[in-house]
Formats: sequence, structure tokens, C-alpha cells
Amino acid sequence: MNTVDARIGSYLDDLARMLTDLDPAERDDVLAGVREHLDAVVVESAGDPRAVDDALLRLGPPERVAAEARFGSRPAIEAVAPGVRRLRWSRAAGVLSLALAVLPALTTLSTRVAELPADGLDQGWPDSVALLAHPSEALILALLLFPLWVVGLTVALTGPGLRPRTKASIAVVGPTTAVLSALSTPLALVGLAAVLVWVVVTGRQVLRETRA
Amino acid sequence: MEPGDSAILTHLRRGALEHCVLALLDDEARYGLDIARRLGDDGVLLAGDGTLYPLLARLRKQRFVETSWVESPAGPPRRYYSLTAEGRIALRSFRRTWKTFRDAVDSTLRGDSP
Repeated sequence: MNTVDARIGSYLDDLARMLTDLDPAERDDVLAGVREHLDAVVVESAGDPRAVDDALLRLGPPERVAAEARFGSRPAIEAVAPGVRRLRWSRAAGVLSLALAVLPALTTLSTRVAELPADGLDQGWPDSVALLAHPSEALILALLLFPLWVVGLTVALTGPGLRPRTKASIAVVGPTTAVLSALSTPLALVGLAAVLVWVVVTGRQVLRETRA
Repeated sequence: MEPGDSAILTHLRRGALEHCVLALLDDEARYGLDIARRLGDDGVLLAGDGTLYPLLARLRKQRFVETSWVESPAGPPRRYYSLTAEGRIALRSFRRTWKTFRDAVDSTLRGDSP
């Protein structure tokens, strides 16, 4: 063992001894953090003993670190319990509004695929694209789901946790899908496929940002 | 720093330092040494780099931060700390409250009339 390893080992041993009365998971976390800190210094300084000595000095005596860890048996920040519940609402509302917004895209795409000629695309695209088999079905579906989408969107946009960019994505998906579904061009179909990818990406963002 | 300043700083750090760590992680994930350097450069916020790690362990335990391993250009992989949604909520609350608190303290110290 060289001098640098010996100094680091000695510091960590002292610290470990002073943390024996701490919760084992927290103790391991603290020790791992300090060890990684020193490892990073060793790598950056190419093992320069002076840099390691300086880093050990800046870490402070193990007693002080242990005292901070013991003081920290209380929560670092008071728990935000109501925030967790609101966060879950944000998550549910975000996913709901995305799912409802993308429904017309799925319906249109499935209708369009069913209308494709059996021998491929060389016979051209059909002239029009229907949201559902009958316009009345589309109307009933829209009437039923639109209020639910509005509620989901409102909760998601006013709730905590989601970043402004994610909120903007959630808000824009619905109108974009509606416009593209109403168009009957092949380009609109490609646009709808892109919207589906966009929704998956935004959905993952929602789940990540509202993880409690 | 005058004698006695250190004791005052110790008291003032309580309750503020954890939120400063959250603020550092607001824009991007950082590894321990990077956080320690940013907080400890002026010797005001961090009494010693070592006190950062019990704090990070507690923030992780409370799920205000989460960690992930990222390959380092040199040496072993580094553990990066990043904010969770709960951490962002806590940070937002602190930013709001801190401004009111700071203004009240400043106003009192200046001797402004209520």
C-alpha cells in the first residue's frame, strides 16, 4: 500500500469507527460518498500526495463528519407529505390527458392502415381519412372524452412536479392530434405517427418527473 | 472572518445548506466532488467538504435526490446526484420562503420602520 492509499484508508477507517451507531444504510452511503470524493481527487491529481493531503484537510476531521451524520438522524428537510399526494395527481392527470389526446391518432392510423390496398402503396392513398367508421361515432366519442381530457389537462398543468416544457408538450399534443386527424393527406398520417412517438417520450417524462 | 462568526455561520447553515445542494442540482446532475467544490470554495456554506456526504445521504434517504452511475473519462465510474420531483417541490418552496425571510432580516438589520 502506498502513502496515498494509507492516508485515505486511515481516514476512512477512523470515520467508519465513528459511524458505527448510525443506521447501516446511511453509514454505508456516507462512507461511499467520502471514498468516491477521495478517489476522484486521486484520479484528477494523478495520485499527488499533496493534493490528497489538501483534500483530506478540506474534508475536515472525521469527528466533524460523524457529528454531522449524527445530527442528521433528523430529516434534512421536513417531509412534504401533501406534495406527494399532489404529485400523484399530476402523474395520473398527465398520463390521462396524453392517452386521451392520442386516441384520435390511434383511431385514424388504424382506419388508414385498414384502407390501404392489399398489394402495397403503389396504388396510391385513399382520398379521405375517417376518424371512425361513422362520423356519428366520432362525435359521440369526442363528446364523451373531451370533458375528461380538459379536466386531466387542467390538473396536469396546475399541479406540481412537471417541468414547464413537459406541461407544454401535454397541452399541445391534443390540438395537434385533432388537426392532423382532420387532414386527409399522407403527410398528416406521418405527422400522426410522429405524434405517437412524441406522446411516448412525453409520457416517460411525466413518469420520471412525478416520481415521489 | 471575526471570532464568533463561525458559530453564527453554523447556525445559519442549518436549514439552508440542504436547499443550496438542491439548487445546485436543479439544472444538471453532479458528482460529489463537483458539488463540494462549488459549495465549499468560499468557506461560507460548507464548514468542511466531509459534511456534505451525510447531507447527501439524508437527502437521498428522503428521496429529494437520486443517484446514478456515470462512466468517468478517467478513473472509476462516478455517482451522480440529481433532483427528484419531490426535491424540486422542496426547492421551489424554499426559494419562495427564503426571499420573504431574507427581506425581513435585511429590513430588521437596516432598522427600517415596520
